[in-house]
Amino acid sequence: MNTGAINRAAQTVLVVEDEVLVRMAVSQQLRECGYNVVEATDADEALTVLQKHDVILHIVLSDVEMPGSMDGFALAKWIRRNRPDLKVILTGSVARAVNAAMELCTSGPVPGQYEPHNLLEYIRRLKATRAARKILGRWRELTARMQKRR
Amino acid sequence: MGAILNAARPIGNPQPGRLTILVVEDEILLRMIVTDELRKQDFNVAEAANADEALSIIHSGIPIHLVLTDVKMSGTQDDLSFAGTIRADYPDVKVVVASGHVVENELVEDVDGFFRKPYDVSNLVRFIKALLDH
Repeated sequence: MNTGAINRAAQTVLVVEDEVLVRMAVSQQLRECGYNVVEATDADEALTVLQKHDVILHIVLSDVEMPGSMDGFALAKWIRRNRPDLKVILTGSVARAVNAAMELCTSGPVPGQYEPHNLLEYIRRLKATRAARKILGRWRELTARMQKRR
Repeated sequence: MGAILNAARPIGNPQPGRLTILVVEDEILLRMIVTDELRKQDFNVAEAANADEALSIIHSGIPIHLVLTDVKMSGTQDDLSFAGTIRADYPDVKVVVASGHVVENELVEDVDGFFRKPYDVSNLVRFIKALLDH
């Protein structure tokens, strides 16, 4: 499998985060700042990429608590041992992930002043909309069941 | 402030006028290649590792124009029922299925396109561009 296409950017960040909305928003922000981003949903996916030597990576931005065979600490340990060339940033919360992304943006290919609050607010909005639609979906299911019974 | 936060546009849909494709694929290396190719073609791309993540993205309110999905993935939702959910709840969203596990005539859902794995990524991207008139 040719994975060379992804390597064109100067700096590539591997974002490891199991909460998809956080991962999506943080990754999108980093792309807007000029980074190339690879998204992994857990450490197992991250390891698949990390062991693929034709994928050039520079930074790993990882959550700490994740499902799968290892958490962020174990992943960081693996990277220190096997890929010491990579910079690892561990984030234990959404706010820390956002702050870390903003710091990368500030010093990144498109430097500027970035506001963590805006990205945090955006993630909150995404989660709120998802929660509302989930409730609406359950209500619809319930209504449909009740109508069937009649 | 950075461009994205300066502008009066949502972060998840950073380029106004760009069409958004949701790629649902549990093989990360393939997901990486496909999403990269689509971004090169100026699509806004959201990515999900399974149907649960995909539904999270869809339910978050991000406007999605096309879903490219595998039909044999991990996660709690069966993949064909995922395609069915999209068809039922979001009839305007195009659905393209890519699979190494089912053949086209086994699909129960009416989809806009089917690619059997392993597929040629360039062909897939060309097909998607034509489908979205991009």
